[in-house]
Amino acid sequence: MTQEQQQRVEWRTTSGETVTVGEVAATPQSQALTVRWPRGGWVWNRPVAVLVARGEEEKRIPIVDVTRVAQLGLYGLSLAFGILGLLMWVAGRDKDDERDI
Amino acid sequence: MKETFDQLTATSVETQKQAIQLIEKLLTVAQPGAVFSEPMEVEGRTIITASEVNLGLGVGFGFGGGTTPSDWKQEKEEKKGKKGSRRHHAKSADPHERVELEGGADAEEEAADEPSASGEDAGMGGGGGGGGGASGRPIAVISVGEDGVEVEPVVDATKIALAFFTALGSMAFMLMKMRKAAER
Repeated sequence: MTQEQQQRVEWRTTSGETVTVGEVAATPQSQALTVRWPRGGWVWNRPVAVLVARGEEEKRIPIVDVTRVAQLGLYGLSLAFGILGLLMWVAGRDKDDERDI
Repeated sequence: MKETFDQLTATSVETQKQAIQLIEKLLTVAQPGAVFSEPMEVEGRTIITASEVNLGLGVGFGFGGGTTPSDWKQEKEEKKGKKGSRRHHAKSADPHERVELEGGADAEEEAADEPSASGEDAGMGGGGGGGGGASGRPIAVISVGEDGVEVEPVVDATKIALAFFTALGSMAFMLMKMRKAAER
């Protein structure tokens, strides 16, 4: 990817402000996709995880977009059915052609 | 004329600068501050909401001008010659032709074609437009307490239900087609 393309399309993970409660420190992380063109642009920014630090212990809790996962799963299922149906239709048509011969 | 042209160009440049500044502001949406809310204290716990943000915009400008072509004079003379010969022969009772004989319509046409002494033979125009859209959707609630951090997802039941019925519809349609194909 050229430097110009890198400037136009950027996929970046950034950390927000750390919130400290007692010994627990939580730092939220977000991921942003930025696409820019000469007279405009598009930005998609979503939260990805929370980094939790407690003393010396550190862990990463992912933020799952349940709605998106469910939507994609359902659409994927219907797409799989569509492909299966198409394959069966093609197979059935080939059989019909063989019978005609 | 030149003053008007300069004025229009200056306005156009200024508007374009403002549009570019607006596009630069896009970058602020790519910051974590746009996704995570300010921390709030609720019953001894600190709550942060996390949302997905989507923003897009685009603008466009066009500006142009033109002058009479250099061979205008030659064309004009040719036209004049033709019109002149037509005028001598036109002796009709038709009111339109009479106006032409008096030089009304033709004179207007000539005035529109002919460059004036002040140099107003140039035309110019410009325009611009833009559009954009933004959306935001809560994804999770982050709860920070002394006992640890909890991430509670926000479920949009309407969106899931819509996706479910869409998938169900397409699957039912496909099953019907598959059954029909199997029967043949």
